[in-house]
Amino acid sequence: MIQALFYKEWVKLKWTVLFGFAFGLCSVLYIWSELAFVFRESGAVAIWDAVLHQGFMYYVSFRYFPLLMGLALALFQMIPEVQHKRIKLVMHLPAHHLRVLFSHTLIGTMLLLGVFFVVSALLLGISAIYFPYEIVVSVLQTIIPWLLAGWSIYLIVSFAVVEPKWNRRIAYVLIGLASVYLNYLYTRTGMYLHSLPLLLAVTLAYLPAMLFTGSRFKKGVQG
Amino acid sequence: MERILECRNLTHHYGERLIYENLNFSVEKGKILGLLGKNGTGKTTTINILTGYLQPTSGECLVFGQSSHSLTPEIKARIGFLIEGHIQYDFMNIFQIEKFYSQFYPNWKREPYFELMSKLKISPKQKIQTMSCGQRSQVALGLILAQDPEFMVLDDFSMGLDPGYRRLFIEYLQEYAKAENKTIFTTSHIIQDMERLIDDCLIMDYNRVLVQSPVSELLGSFRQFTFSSAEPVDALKSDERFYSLEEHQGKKVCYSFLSEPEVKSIFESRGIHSENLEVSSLSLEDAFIGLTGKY
Repeated sequence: MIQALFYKEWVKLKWTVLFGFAFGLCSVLYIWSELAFVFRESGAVAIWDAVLHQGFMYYVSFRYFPLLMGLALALFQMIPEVQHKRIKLVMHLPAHHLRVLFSHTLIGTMLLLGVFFVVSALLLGISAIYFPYEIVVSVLQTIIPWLLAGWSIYLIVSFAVVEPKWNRRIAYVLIGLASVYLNYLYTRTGMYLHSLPLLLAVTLAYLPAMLFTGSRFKKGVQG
Repeated sequence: MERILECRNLTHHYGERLIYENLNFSVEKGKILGLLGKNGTGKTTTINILTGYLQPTSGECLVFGQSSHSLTPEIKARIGFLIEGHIQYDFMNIFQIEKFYSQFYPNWKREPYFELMSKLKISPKQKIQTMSCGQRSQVALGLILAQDPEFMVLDDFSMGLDPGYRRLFIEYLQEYAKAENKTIFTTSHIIQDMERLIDDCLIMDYNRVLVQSPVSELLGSFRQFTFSSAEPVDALKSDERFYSLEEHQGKKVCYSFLSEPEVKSIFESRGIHSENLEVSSLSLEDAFIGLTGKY
């Protein structure tokens, strides 16, 4: 089942994923070119000092990439499913409808985290060219909340789109935005180090929400 | 005879609005049942209930003996479902969509699907969303034929189709259903199409069922009576044996399941002197209008 659903989702989402990957790649290349320029112009000592003592985030343009990617993936994945109530087609497949819906969430998550992994690895790889291991680790600690925000917004928008009632959709998105805002509250390097398990737990809590809104659709709740 | 679909005492409300109360009907194996009704009489509601996408306020709907709201995957595999407007995954082409669905059905038959697709004038990689409504209907029908279900639910199959595609759809479906002893539950706004396709009909009006019978029986017993009369015939309006009493081109028209002598006898007992009483047999569309009225 999951293989067939993955095939359908890949046909639907390949351009979104590839475009998102290209966008992420461009933002990393931009960071690289800027970093190379500043190193050439100001020298390594000044940059290291700025990063270590003044909290300079040379990768700040990466900040909203996960959020935009998560939002785009959720919209491009779920809107075609709810348009004309097309979601009835997957719910009618010979499998439990909740398993089918959850598989959609897992497939979307897999594609999203796949893009995040590659783009983040490139960012960290570029960082490793210019900075010592400790700074690279602090970059990772700083971008993880942003990545979790992207994953959260993907899950929130996905289950909100499947929800049949507009007022609830809006409420879910507002609550979701408030929760995602927490991931952007602090802008200094490594500030979320001790909160990462909590942020991860909040994100994981959104994972089964699709089962709730999907069940409401199946019951025939009117929009 | 085995009952494939059985709805017992179905009642449904949307908020305060009653759609219908204690609706009972069944479909026997090998039969094609058409659900007819004006807009708002509950056709889509019924389809949604029997495909499991709406929980009725009360009552139950059984498909292959299982509640339609909790069908097992094995039962779902035996039911083909055509969504109103021939909705499918229109971001796919005909090969991609066949590849997707074929992985779910062990008895998948790709030959009838590709036979139907070979008749469409489309390029192999053309996405379904760029096809005409008629072509999309053939894709949706082909997928159902490939699934080879025992029971098919077709929601407004003629929607958006031109006469040629409607005829093609009906002929293909009818031939297939009769040859393979398939059971079909269907709705359509175009009653001429239904007349060609269905064995039995269920005619709904607001909050109630007007008729459930084989089409041949309905058309054999339901007649139009046209007559002239100087007397007012308002008294017939409250008589439940007469339907849709109206005046047309100076003549009075009513419909009834009664025979001509019975109608004459009622007229006489009510002091109505009818002249030139004409009795006409009806098409299914005329019978539908006669039963439900024009408004």
